[in-house]
Amino acid sequence: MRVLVVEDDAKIASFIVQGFKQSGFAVDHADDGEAGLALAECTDYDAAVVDIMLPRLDGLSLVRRLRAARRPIPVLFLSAKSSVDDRVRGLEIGGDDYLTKPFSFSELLARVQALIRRSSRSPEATKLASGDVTVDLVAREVTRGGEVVMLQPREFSLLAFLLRHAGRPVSKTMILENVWDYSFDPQTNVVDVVVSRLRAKIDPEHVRLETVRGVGYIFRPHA
Amino acid sequence: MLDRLRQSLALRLAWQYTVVFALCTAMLFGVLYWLLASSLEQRDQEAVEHRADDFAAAYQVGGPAGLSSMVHSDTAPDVHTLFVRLISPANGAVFVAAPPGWIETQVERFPVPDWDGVVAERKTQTVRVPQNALKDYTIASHPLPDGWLLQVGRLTDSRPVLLAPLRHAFVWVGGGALLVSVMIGTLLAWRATRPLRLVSATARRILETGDLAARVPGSPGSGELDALVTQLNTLLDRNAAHVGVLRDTLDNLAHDLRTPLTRLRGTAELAMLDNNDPVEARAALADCVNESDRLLHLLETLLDISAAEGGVLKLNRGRFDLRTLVERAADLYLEVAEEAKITVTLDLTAAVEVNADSIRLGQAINNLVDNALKYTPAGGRVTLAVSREGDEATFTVTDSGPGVAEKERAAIFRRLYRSDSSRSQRGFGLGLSLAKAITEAHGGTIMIDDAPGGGARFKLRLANS
Repeated sequence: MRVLVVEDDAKIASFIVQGFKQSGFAVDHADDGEAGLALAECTDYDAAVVDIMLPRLDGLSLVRRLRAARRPIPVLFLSAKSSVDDRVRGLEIGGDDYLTKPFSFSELLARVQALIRRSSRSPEATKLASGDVTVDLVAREVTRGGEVVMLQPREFSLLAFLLRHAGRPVSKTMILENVWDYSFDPQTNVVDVVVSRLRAKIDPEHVRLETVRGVGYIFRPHA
Repeated sequence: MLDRLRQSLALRLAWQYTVVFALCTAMLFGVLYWLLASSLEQRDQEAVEHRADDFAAAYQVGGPAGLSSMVHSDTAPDVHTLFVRLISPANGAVFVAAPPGWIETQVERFPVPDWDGVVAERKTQTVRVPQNALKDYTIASHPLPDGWLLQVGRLTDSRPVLLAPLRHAFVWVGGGALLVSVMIGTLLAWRATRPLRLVSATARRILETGDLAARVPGSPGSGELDALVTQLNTLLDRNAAHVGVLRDTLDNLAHDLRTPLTRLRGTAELAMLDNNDPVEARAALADCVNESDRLLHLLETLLDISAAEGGVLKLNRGRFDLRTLVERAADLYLEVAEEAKITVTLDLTAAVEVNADSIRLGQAINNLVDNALKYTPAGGRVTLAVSREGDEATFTVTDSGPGVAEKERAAIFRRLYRSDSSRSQRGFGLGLSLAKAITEAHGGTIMIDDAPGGGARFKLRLANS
């Protein structure tokens, strides 16, 4: 897995590069838009993390030119602006995801991994399993240790999402986006409420569905 | 100073006005003077010509002798001031009667009209000969049938002398009027341009001292300059309000950030002291991350509220059914309500179309629902209703909680306000402020009153246009 990071702030760049390296990625870093474009044009990356405000060539223009050259690299935009407009513009231009600063590295990592998985076009499994928990996406049936567990629709969606990211922490924002389809954080404790309900049905011993302080939640494949 | 006077709009106006006034007056006087002078001249000439006619008739009856006897027997008082001369075709003077003191040489100087056909066609011909500055001759020449010429002359006052009083009066009265006109004109122009000077003085004061409270003084009139002053003051008011909002926001922000920042710093410092226990240090770091996320969210919400209140929040308006937002809010809070054992009822009978920013209005609606769920005790009820009232779309949240006391109703919309009963709840106390600010940015209102069966009722109204 090879990732391109285009970010001009040295501190942020080094924290992203370090994080990706520790997670087993090969990382290239460019600190301005033109250098980033040059790298992206001659290397096959699995994903790119692009800051919007860049010297010489801004992130939006970089991606526009990349798309014009038919380079289908999945791109995640980083921006200090949180307005919905910027997000929409970024996605229209051909970005695949958008994250506002400040962000947690685990969220960035989870999003980039999701982008790579989506672009690799592996057919979506109809069954997910982790440990003794299985989810049948077609029959919408959940079993735990062979026993069928009855879940509410949202609990089911949340479990399926957690299982797809099993072993990796996911943030509340990601859960809201994927389970509730909210593009902004409505600042409620709905996620906590549904997580604790799911936990009661799937993991009453509190050993698999864990809260990661400062990050979000993680579903561990094994207790 | 002199330069400023010269450039003063009021003085320039006054001077230009005076020049126009002087030109018009001079023209009027000139025409009047000319009319008067020519009418005087005509009167003199008519008198002389009348006399010449009489003498010519006497000559035709009695010849030169008849003329002579008529001149001498005439008893009119002015006959002695008349000059009469009869000229033969051989161009010699046959008969001359002149008043005493009339000098012969002067008589000789009288012009004789050319003896040709053009002149002969007219019965008389009049010539004026100036004698000196004070006196003029008026002379009528009367051709007689057999080639003789009769001339009758008379001394008259010279026109310039006669009209001298008029000219003097014009100089004095005209000059005086000009002076008064300059003075009154300057005064009027000075008064008329007063608003301009006030505007300029106020602008200078704001530029020099930064005093945003400075306003242009003036009475509310309806003239152009009054309108300018009123508009400028409105502009200054709005400007000052914006600056005020900005300043308040900064003050509040500084104040509101202090507490969470202190907490953040404390947690981090504690983690550094606990260097023996990596587990505790990790926990403290996680707390720091949580705290900074909260801080960030607080900052963003405060900025949103300020932007909405200051009228600079960007709204992406579109037409949609208000019910979709309410259904979405009900769906979002479904599990929260279930956990709190609150029954949420929807009353969405008919579609109510609104023109609004769906994301922003959605935030406002979510916050109202969130607020109702927070203050409704277990086993309670929350009803969400959408309806159309005349021209307005309304969204009503009714709960079965304790309600909001009359004296608290204005306060609950204030930023960061936490009533005594809500201190235990999570949140910053920004939800209702944001809902109100967003609704008002859309031109709508949020009202609060008592629900029929006790509890609070929040009503969001939005103009339908």
